[in-house]
Amino acid sequence: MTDKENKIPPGWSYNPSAWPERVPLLIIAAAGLLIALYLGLYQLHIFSTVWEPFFGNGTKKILTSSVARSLPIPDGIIGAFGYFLDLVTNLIGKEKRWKTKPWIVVIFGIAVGPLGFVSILLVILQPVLLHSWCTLCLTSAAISIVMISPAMDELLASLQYLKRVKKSGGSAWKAFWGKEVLLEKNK
Amino acid sequence: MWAQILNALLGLILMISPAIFSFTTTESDVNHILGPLAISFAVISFWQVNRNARVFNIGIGCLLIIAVFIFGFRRIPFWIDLFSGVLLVIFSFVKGKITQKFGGGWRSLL
Repeated sequence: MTDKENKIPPGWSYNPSAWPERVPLLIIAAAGLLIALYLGLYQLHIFSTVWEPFFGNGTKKILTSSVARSLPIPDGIIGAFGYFLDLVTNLIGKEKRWKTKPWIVVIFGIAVGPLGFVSILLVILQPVLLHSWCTLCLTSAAISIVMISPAMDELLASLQYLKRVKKSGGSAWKAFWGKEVLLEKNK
Repeated sequence: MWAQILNALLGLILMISPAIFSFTTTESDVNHILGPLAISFAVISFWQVNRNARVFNIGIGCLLIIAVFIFGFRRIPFWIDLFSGVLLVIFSFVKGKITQKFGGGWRSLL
């Protein structure tokens, strides 16, 4: 068995933790981070204007709305933090991390999943509550939705692994933190 | 895969149509809520690991079909939403080829 095959989860046709699977996500998360940071800095009055090619006053109206400011921190900054968490949790761990570090894969999944969900919600709120659109907010939402599925495959591999550990009588808790690694052969 | 791309486009049509045609507030709210949801479920099911997320768009399509009748949509919004709803349901049934293997998929966790 080659080293590459050895990293593939049992019953899978590919390794979801391989770098070619993770690097595209790193790139689009970085793009999302830059966009959200830009919008957040406008909300913090560090930039006095904001780029909006299509919807006139839309971006300004949305970013200064009560929805965007309903939390103590502007939503752009929260989004930027979310993307930053995506980036960091994507970077940590080698190509077998679905097995050696399930905890980081689970945090990665939690960072990507709810971020995508909140993005969908914000896209709906723009026209329904505020009657405007915001180009960069829509771009950021598109990025976070595109990230969901490619992150979920790794989460699935980790959860399947933890289930196998439990079934074999091991401690899923220890396996979750990577303190015990179940020896298994790839089929 | 092609069916899910078409569903994403249908979601986009729903989102954009109130800006092009004359829609009442209720009619455009329906499109502005269900459109982004349809796009999201379609995009999530582009990937084989989550291809089954397409079934959520059966629900979205049915909601559209119900909405045009209970909210009494007028002509153009009525036909746009009814057609989109029916097509969303039809395309949601198209699974497409699954070439990758996922150790039994999400079902294996049950």
